[in-house]
Amino acid sequence: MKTSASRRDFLCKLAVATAGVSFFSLWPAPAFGFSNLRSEPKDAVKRFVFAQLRYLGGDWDPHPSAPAQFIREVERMTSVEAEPERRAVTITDSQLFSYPFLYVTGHRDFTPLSEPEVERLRTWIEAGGTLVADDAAGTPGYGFDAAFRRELARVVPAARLERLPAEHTVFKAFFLVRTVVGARVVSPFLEGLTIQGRTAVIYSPNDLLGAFARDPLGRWVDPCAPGGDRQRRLSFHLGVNLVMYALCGDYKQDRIHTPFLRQRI
Amino acid sequence: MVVGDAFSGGTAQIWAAAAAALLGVFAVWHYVSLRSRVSVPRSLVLTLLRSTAIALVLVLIAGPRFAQRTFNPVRRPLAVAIDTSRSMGLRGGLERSRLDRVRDFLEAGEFRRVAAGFVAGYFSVSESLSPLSRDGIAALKPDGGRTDLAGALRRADGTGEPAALVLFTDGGHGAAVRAEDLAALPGAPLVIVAVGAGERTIDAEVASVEPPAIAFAGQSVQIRVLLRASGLAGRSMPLLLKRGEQVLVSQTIALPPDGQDLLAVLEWTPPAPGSYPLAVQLPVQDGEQIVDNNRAELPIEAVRDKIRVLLVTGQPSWSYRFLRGALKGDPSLDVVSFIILRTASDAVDVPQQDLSLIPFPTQKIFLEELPNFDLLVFDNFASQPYLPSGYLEKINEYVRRGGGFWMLGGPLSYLGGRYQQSPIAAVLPVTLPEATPAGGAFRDLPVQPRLTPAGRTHPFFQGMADRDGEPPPLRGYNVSGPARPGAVVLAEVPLGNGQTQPLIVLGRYGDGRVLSVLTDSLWDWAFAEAGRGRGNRAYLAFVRQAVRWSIGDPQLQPLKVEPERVRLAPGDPIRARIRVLGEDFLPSARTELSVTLRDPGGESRALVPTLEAPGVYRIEALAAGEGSWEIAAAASIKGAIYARSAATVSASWPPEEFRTPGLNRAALTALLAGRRGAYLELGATGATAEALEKALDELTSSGPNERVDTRPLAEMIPVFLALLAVLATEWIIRRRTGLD
Repeated sequence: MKTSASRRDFLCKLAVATAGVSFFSLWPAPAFGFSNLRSEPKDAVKRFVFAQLRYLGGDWDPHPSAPAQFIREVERMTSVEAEPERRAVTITDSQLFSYPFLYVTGHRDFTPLSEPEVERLRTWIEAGGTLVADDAAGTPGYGFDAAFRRELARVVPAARLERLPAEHTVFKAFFLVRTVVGARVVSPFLEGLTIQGRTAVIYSPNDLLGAFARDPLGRWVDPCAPGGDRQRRLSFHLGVNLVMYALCGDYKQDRIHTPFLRQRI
Repeated sequence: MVVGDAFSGGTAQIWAAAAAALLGVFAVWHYVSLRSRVSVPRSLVLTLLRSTAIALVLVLIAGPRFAQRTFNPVRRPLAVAIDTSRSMGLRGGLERSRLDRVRDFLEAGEFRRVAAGFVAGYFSVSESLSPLSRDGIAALKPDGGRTDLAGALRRADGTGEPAALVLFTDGGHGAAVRAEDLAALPGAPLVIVAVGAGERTIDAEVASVEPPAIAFAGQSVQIRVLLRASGLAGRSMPLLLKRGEQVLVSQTIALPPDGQDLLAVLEWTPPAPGSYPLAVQLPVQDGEQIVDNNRAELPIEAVRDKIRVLLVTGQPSWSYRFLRGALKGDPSLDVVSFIILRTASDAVDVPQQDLSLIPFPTQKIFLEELPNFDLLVFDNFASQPYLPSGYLEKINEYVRRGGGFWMLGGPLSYLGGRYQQSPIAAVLPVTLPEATPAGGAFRDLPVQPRLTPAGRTHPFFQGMADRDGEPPPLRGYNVSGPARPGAVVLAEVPLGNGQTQPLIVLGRYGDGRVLSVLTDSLWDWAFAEAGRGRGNRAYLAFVRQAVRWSIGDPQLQPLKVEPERVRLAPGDPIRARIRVLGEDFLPSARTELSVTLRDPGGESRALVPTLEAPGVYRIEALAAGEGSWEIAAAASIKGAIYARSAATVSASWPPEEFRTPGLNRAALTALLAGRRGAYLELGATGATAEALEKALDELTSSGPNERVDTRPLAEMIPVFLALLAVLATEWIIRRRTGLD
């Protein structure tokens, strides 16, 4: 490949040392109503699976209807192809390593993991899995919060949950998220556990999944307080970003995004 | 001639005195005891005889030795060795060369007088010690290669055990003499007559060259050159970096004063990856005797700068996530990735300002910048509607001109991306049917792929050594037609009834290399394999090897030239092993191998390789002269070359020979460490001969031609006979006297 001045200019702009770019095509503009954007029906092959961890003790599934609603929103807003139903898996499930995204939530304390479970979950995280934990009770220091922190310390003893800074990729993976919320607002930030530059565990204290639950008649199960519908919409945005971060990694940290994001943030 | 005999008894004189005293007491007692029975004369005689016998027995018991000192008229051997290495041809500003000056000294009467006391044997010494006739000295030439004094003396045969070894040398062996070599030298005293003192040396020297640790094509490298000089302080001259006779860089330098170093730095940019047999050179100056050290060979292997990868992904997926991780984890790669996060049919409830999405600069990328990438990857990406046909024509041209291209599978790839009707179809190593077959373009079901024979030996799958050739299962595949002729199928999906679906296929399009992967679940080889306890080694190995194959990395060529040694002396054989495989990395009977050898002058000639084993050949040729010799090999099938490889060997005299062009006193005195010897410097004939004579006198401590022989006195038969005679006489007298 020959080198040219224009290449240098271009690469300087892209800062290609670690560059990577997400894309929203402006050509042809969606507003123009092109209908042939996909060569296959959208439900042809579903590759993203919302897997939810089923554990002993406590309540592993406090919002049974929320995952499906959330998955629909992810599919509606992004190009992600997702299975419409969540998959509930245990740590010892033979299919665990088919799902690099795992959501764990609950209100109460749960049974400590066995040593083989600790070992297997550690392998899953180190191999590239992304674990999203969500305290449905929103009670720091008690119930699910205490139990999850206790078990995580056993799984990854060398690292600990730390507050994710505002410039973390998860806040700009798709939407520009400026406010951390859920069905409630217990804490205005997420915590995360980072291993070799990748945030493998993300912890929400605000009952994020609770903001997505609907009853069979389509009504929201839980109110979002204190922000109401706007808070619920922001919760969806944060949820979408969590999925995008799991699927795309830290691509938004690639320097090509810097000038664009600087204008918008 | 016997000039003196001496008895030398034991050193214990006290014991001798005590024995004598006891013997006297015994004699008195013996006389007194006899006097009452026999006459006085007989008593005296018997006492004398008995005392004599006892004295003789005591002498024999004490074991005195008989020493005989002889001044032998026969002259003893003297070994005279003359260094004939190349440095002995130097003149050092004098009229006669070092070797000539040695010859003059050996012919002079003063030396002949000293040598007359010995039987002088003459030897030439460089890498070996060779006997010379006296007349052969005149025919000596300084052409003995490098100096290996210790080795030569150790290998010496026929020198006997000389009184001394006299060595004429300039010490050009440098640091080549090691302690263990010295310990193995013959035990005779060594007299070194150093040659080269008082010379005025004119020399410019490339003392050392420090090549860059790694050289990237297109990036300048610094070559650090250490220069020394004798008698040329301050002289300006060009320092040249050359390839063959072509001057690549010329930099003016001023030579340092004697005894000082000058560090010069040359900058040069390898234009492309490959082997560059370079040399750093100083011009030969008037009066300069040593020209070999004006030049130093410098082979440089230039590799690619970071490999630039353009990754275009159709939608967020685990395929992208794990591929990105593998690419980003390789520090030799620059990755620019584009993901389609949202299409026109996706609806968001916020203004554009609340999205982090940016436009995809398709025109800039595909019409302007594409040639600056080494590898383009379409990962589950449908070009429509983003890339018009003209863009795809550009991609076709990019590959034809040598770019690497991957198409990774998924529902948006191959038939799913309608590539069968695009210019990309011709690039792919698999055929695409015009119509999508019944069952769809993508089969979303678990499959167990299998490696083909080519796949089992291919470097892509080196991470699967512990799987016995069975790759991990996958969860779907793209439908395609069969592989194109000439393409290499590495893995396939068995479909039953003997039918197979190509899964991983390699191909060429023009000068470009193309990889087709007809699945989007290779990431299972990383994640699911980790769950099976095997880690992600197979996946990482596949991705990284595939990147390097795609850009034509020499490390992944099916042809390699492996020289046995890369540094030789002129006259040494060049030997190399050449490994050649087919494009499928299996030994191929269809492969034709051609090998050429380019000499330092740029002339090439064909070599005939000898088949050693399937896929392994050997070549041998002579490195007839100094310089870089390049072995170039090409593998072809039916005349079409599919792989090239080359290697360079450098032939030069060991630099130690001329590293110190002047007299090397330090090296020579080191030869005398721990052994008897003397160091002289060859100067005026008379003074040198006098010093040599004095040294030989001192080192042969028992005097010239003197020999001392000793033997036990007990071996002398007359002493025993005398003892018997004394005892017999005493017995006879006693019998006649009537004593018991």
